[in-house]
Amino acid sequence: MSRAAVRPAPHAPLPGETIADAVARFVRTEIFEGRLVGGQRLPQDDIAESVGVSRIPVREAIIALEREGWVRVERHRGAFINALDEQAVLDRFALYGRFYGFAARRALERMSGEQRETLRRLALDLARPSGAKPFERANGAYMSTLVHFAGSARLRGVLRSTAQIVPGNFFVTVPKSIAIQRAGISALQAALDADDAPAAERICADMEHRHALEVIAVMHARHARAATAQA
Amino acid sequence: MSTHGRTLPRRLKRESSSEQVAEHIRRLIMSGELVKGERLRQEDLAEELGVSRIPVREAIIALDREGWLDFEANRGAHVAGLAADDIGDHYELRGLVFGLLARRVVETATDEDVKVLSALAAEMKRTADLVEFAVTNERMIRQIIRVAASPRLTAALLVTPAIMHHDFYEFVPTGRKNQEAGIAAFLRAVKQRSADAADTAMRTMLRRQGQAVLAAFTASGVVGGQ
Repeated sequence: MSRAAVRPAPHAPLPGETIADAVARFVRTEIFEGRLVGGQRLPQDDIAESVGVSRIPVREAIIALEREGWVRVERHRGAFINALDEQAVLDRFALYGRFYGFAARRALERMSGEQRETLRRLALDLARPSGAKPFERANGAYMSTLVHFAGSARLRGVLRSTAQIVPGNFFVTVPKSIAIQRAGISALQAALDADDAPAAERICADMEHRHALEVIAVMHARHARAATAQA
Repeated sequence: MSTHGRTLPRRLKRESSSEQVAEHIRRLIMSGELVKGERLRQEDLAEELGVSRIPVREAIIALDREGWLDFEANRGAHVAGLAADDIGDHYELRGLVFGLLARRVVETATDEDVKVLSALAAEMKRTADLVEFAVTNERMIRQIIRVAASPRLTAALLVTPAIMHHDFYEFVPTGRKNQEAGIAAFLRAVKQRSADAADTAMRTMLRRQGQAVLAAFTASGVVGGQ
């Protein structure tokens, strides 16, 4: 963590972010990059200093990070980092798989004919070849529309806390996931067109599991690099 | 803290004041006393509950993450709304998380773990007291969480929390029967080492609890009135 203090990092809040959001984003990156490790107590003062804020937004960030599974809070002892190991990644993506499967099922129950058409169009945008950034935009449009058409306030709430495990643009960091997502959404859209909710749930679970395996591979590579850099 | 005129057992973990405030607000939303779009008055809540502004603010941040409130720096906190569908969805989502926890239990439980879980299930069956049943059920859930040993799945339960605690089984008449049947099916699956069956048992149990909670709220006239 001492290294974090000397990194030239612009930790200012992005548009729409609160200071606490920016702190949470900083902590997620530190964990993903292996600079904060499982079991370690969250160094709240160092983090406040690195980001250039007071302790209050750090405390607020911890509330969000606890719900996202990055830290656990032990009363009177502080916050401790949860290990970002293979099991953690598998569990995280298993949750995603289930929540998106739930979105697909509810969308099938609740969306109008016009909405079905909108989703089909967005799926076609994803099928076109493109780089990581346009792909992320098209994918974001499809997924958020699917969640919107599911019409579930509770699902939106749960997804709010199922924050991404990979900081930044997922498809830049995990390039092999583009092919997985493209094939997965194509299969998902086919299941939706066929009104087949169980198939849609299986496809979502399977797609997210494949992402998990790619993320694990990327993490291993990064941690090996971080270990070399520190040696 | 006392419930129904009796003091809760000491082994029950005392919640922090922000957790208590959060539970209070969740319940006001669930019961329809706070309605969609309504602005939460932090000062009033703090005064009503006899706490400072800090735990109220922390509770609001937690409830924003859980999706019960929309909290924006300049607009304050507003209730995100609650409809009959939300109750069903909430329990369905909690079931999805519990289903994954159940899978991990099947993968990792030792014979000793199975014994402990079985003893707790027997204790749940034995008690005549609904509050004691709820407390034993909480111990059962903590045991499941311990055996599953997944911080990520445990965190997901924070976002799909139990809506009521010690008075759940008094408020929801078929709640106890659902819970006992669900836990029994789960334990059978664990003993047979069937992850699929354990998963299904939990999802079914939580879906039924969602239907029972909705029926109880509908009977008390606060949800689905139109």
